[in-house]
Amino acid sequence: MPDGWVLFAYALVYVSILAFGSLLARRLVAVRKRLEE
Amino acid sequence: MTRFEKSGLWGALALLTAGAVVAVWSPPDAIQGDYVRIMFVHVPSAWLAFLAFGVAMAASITWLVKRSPTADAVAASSVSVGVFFTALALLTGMIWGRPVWGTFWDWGDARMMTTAVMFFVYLGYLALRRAIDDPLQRARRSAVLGVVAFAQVPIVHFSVVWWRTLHQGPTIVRPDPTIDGRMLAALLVNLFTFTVIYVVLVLFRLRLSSAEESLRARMLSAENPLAGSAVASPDLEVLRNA
Amino acid sequence: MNRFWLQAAEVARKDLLIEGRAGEVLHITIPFGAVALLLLPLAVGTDLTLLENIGAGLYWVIVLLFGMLVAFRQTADEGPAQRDMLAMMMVDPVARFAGKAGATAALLALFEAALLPVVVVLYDPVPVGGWGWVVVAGLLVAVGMAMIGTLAASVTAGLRTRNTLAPLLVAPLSLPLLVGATQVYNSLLGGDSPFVFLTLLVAVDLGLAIVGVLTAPIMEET
Repeated sequence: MPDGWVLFAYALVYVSILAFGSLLARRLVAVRKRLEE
Repeated sequence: MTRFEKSGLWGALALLTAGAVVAVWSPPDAIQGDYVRIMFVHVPSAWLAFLAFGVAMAASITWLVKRSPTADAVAASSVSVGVFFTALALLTGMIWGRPVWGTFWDWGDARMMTTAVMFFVYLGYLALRRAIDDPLQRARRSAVLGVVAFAQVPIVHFSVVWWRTLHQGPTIVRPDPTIDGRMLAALLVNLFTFTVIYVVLVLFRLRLSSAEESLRARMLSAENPLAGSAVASPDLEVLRNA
Repeated sequence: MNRFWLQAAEVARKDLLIEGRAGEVLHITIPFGAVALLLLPLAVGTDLTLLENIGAGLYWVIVLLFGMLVAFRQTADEGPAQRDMLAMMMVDPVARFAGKAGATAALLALFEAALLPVVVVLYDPVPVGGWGWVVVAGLLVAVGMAMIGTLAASVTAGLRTRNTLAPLLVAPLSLPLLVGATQVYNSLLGGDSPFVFLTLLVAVDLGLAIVGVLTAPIMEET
């Protein structure tokens, strides 16, 4: 089991990227929905 | 979401997983042990920061020459994503430094210093954009800043390097991880993965900006119906049948 | 060519005259810098050896951080009406940049000179042979800061958040000037040649001048 620091670094990076990506995707879908109204 | 966008997301996710797998498969370093794996997320993040800001500079120059709104949008999107990765680069650098060299911040590392300065300069860029409403003025001023901000990176870097050579403070003996063949492969895979993720994020950011622009334009025109539209031509059918 | 320098001189003269009447640098910014120098030992300790060693560095940091306010002074802020008037009078935008930066550089030099006795009295920094080069460094820093400040002021002109945004933009960009100035002093202290860092300052100033000249016509359109 890798050290806590390594896990922390990877968790931080991967979770951030996923969060940033999904935030952009969700906002995109929401704005497009409003445009279609 | 279009099929292109969906496949972009899934592709990025797949590559991210591949990068993680490869990072686990890579052997531990002789000196640093498992901590060397942090390199596989730190180096790509830093590389992306420079790529993103370089792209922003190119887009800014394009705007200054061609006045194309797309160029402005690309610059802004690239800086947003770039600031994100700069923050990750700084954080992973600090997380790497603590267990390996005993300190979160290595004052002897010119690159970390330059990255930190870049972070603040581009935060300023984003703050500038947020402060201007008029799109033309915003594009113009951002373009000027976008060029100046990247141009000063090498100057800042050399200044810190020269400062270091005179200021022989506590030097942290830092053995560079001897690059094993598998380590190198893992690093390259992650560099590729992160680059694709950068492209996907910028594309999404661009489409989001463009969608928000359309929405804003539509809202503005809806609030101001054309004067005189309340007056309609007389309905002759009604009059004839009256 | 002559017209360019005449215009620049006129713009500088106007700026300096306004400053002479309003006295913002003299009455406000210099005391502000002095207060900062006074407060710092309360935080880091008043051990004389410590202060001797950090005095010069702190002087330059204060000059940079507080000096940039000199570039953003209210008198330097011109509204669109004034800029339009200058444009209609066919004032070359580059001459306008040069004049404004020149006036700011002069005021910054005054700022540096005024704070020098303060730092000498409070910190008693180690004197160096060849301190003439420190003066040269001071002038180069004044010119550099003036140009960065003028650029930042024009990029943030007319914005509501100008007073906080402009310093944020200037601070990281002034790092090379800080390194140059402090290392000129440190080199002299160590008996080395200060010329590497003087060259750095000259190079930075030249680069800034080029940026200023290239961007002045673009910013004029704003």
